[in-house]
Amino acid sequence: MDTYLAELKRALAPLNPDEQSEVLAYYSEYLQDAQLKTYDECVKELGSSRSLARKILADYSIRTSDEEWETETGSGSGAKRVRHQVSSVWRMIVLIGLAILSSPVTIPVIILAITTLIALAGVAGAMVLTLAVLVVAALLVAVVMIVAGAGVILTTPFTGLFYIGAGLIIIGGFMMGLPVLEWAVMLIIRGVSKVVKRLYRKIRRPEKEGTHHEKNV
Amino acid sequence: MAIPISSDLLDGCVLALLKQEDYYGYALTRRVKEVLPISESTLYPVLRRLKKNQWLTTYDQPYQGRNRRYYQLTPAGNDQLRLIQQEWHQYRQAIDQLMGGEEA
Repeated sequence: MDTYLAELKRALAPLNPDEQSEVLAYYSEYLQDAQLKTYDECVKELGSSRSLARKILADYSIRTSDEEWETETGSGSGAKRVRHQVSSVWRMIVLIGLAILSSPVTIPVIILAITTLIALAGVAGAMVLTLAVLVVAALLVAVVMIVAGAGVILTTPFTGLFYIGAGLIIIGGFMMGLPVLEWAVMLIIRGVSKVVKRLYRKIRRPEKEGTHHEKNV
Repeated sequence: MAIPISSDLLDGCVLALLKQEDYYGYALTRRVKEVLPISESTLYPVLRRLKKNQWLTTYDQPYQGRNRRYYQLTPAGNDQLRLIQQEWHQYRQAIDQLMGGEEA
């Protein structure tokens, strides 16, 4: 039992110490009450320490992400918030992927689920990348226009003014569009996170039936 | 065929059990497993969520040189239980009406 719990603890390393000790206290009590002493008995009851840990981690990441959406209106600059969301959603996708991999569902379901996860991440990533490229391109054009305008302003003042003005308009538009951009990116991330969570909840179900049928055999 | 249980219903079942008496983790899992095909690791996240919503509290009681963590229903948990029971009642009536109850 101690070996099992030690393994579980190691596998739960991503959690903060408080959460970790809470999980361990629960399962250590559980195993003692179940009077399971050997390592094999523990595995038979709860599954391998790794798959148990993955389930717990996936659960925690979903919960954290739910809480983050609820309290999202909070602090930090836009870019910071977006980056934070991207990394937390990314973490959730990876953890859920691992949890699915180690759950006893059939291979086709695993392949389907993992493919969906990868495709989702890819599509969302591509959308964000496209937005980023568009923005960078627009800014680049603006800078080039201003520089070019400044270069010719002495020889042909009106052409120069025109280019500088156009460049400034683009930058101004970008400044005004920033909240919209941020909103669009957040929308994409939120969509991905929603789909991923739903997928995980769908997948998790057959597992329970599975264990049930095993027991009946 | 096993119809998968929704997490709201599972919440309701756990709250209803805790209304009768306080349980510790293993006993609660066993009690639910007598009736429903849940896996051994299902209840931990449920209990955590219920506690976070303050529908139950925990207290430790010494048992054979260690602690057992007991789960206890709160008044808010009792309200929530009543809400789930009402919704389940309506839902069951609707399904029975369409699909027929046992005697129908």
